[in-house]
Amino acid sequence: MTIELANATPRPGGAPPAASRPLRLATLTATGLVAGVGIYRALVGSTQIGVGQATADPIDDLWVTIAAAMVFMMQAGFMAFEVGLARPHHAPAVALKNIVDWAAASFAFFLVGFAFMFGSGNAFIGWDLFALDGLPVAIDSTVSGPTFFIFQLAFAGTAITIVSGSLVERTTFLSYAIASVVIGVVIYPIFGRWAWGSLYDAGSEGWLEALGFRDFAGSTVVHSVGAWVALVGVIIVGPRLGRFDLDGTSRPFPPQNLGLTVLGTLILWFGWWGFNGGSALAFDQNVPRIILVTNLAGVAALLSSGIHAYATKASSSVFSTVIGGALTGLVAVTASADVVDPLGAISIGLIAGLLHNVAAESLERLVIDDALGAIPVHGVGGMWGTLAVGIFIPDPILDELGRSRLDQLSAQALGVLVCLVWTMGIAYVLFKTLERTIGLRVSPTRELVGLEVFEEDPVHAADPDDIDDDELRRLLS
Amino acid sequence: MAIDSVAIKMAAGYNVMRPADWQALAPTERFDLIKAQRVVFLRDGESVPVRTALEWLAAHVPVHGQPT
Repeated sequence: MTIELANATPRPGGAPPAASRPLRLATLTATGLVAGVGIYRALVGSTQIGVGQATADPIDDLWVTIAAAMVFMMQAGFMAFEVGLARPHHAPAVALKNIVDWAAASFAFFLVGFAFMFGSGNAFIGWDLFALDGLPVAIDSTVSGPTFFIFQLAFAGTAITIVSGSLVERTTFLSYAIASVVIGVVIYPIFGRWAWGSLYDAGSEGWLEALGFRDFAGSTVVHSVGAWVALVGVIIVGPRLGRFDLDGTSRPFPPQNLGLTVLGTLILWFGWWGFNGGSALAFDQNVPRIILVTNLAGVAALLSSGIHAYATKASSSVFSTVIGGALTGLVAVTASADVVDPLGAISIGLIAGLLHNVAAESLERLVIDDALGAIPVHGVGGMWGTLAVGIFIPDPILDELGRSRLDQLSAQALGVLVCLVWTMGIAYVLFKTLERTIGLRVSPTRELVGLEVFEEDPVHAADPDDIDDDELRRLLS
Repeated sequence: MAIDSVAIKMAAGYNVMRPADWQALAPTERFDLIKAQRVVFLRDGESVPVRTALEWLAAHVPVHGQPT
């Protein structure tokens, strides 16, 4: 049941409200972070970035820098996509969460995450390059250190912002900001180390990649990580008010602006050309082919998702299903874009579109409110795309690697499983801790009126303490 | 002054119902929910004290099809 509200009670005129507890906490945290960085620099000296004698290839560097900017634009794409699907009174909070989680990602990944993921260390974690101190110009890459960092930062930001799409309209701002930091410091970079540690320094190979796991541009490393965190989050925080009846009947909310959602989808699609094309970490003859197969998978998924939704009429909105389906195809091809041929990409996309629809319907039947469909797109799409590497990787490449197709499939399945266990385990601890400390969910009134970022929540459950039991029974009869 | 919705705290999150649906619940069920502080009565997005809400509901929304 959708609740139509009258205008919210206007704020009394006069002086603005005193700073709320969340605002004071946020200010204290920000001040502490700045002070911490200053103390760090005082202790270790100025950060040395771009050291060493090696030089980067200028064309490769330029391309990957441009690709990083394209991936950063996906933040705008996610924002437009989410605001378009959210209800009007939540639009400001949805938009703000998207820009704040980029800030959280930037700080977290710069200070700690990049070091865990790519610093010198072992197969499980890195332990230098904190705050990029000592970042070389180039090691086992033709791009410079700073370029490599900003490209990886854009990926980290993508993984983090995926979570916002599932938790919108009922999650407290502060808890979401804290979750973003934890994802950027712990969940994403440590799994990224296991799968991509050797990307920057061959001596830092992660244990998963040593076992043969391949994920070219992050179907699992980026998209599934974000999605599984989101899945744990939506289960713990619960569905939005009125989204399901008491018996579990689904009551979908109408989107406020589908044009904005389509614009967001197109911006994401544009960003994906950089996401996958830039993951070659060089500008060579592979890049146009990577972009070609990326596009083919997206359109194929749009087609299969749309035909299935129209034919079965199982979805309440063919329109939003089709959009989600297309994005699922883009996610799915991300793992294999460097090796799959055009027909393989189309196959991956066609299956991805169908899987998206099935996954979305399954979540509804399980009474799980994934507000903006992030889990079918990024979780299921990521899982399928990662497994698809084992199916569609050409034989000559397997021969070169000295691996059988079964070996490759097994490595892919292992990576998918490890991601699930790691991500969901840490996310469970994270969200349960937030729930029991600062609170995860806003009040019903705040949820129905619209989330204000820094306003005290005035609503409390009905307190019957001033009514004795006999009078209460009389009032209820 | 009208109660426009009633939010019930569930095991995970809340769910909301119309006043008529709330009134249709058995008295003992409504009693237990209120005593457990799982109910929020809402008007124009603001919570309403329980006594005020119940008095209004008793006067304006029939219980089990009984006329007010």
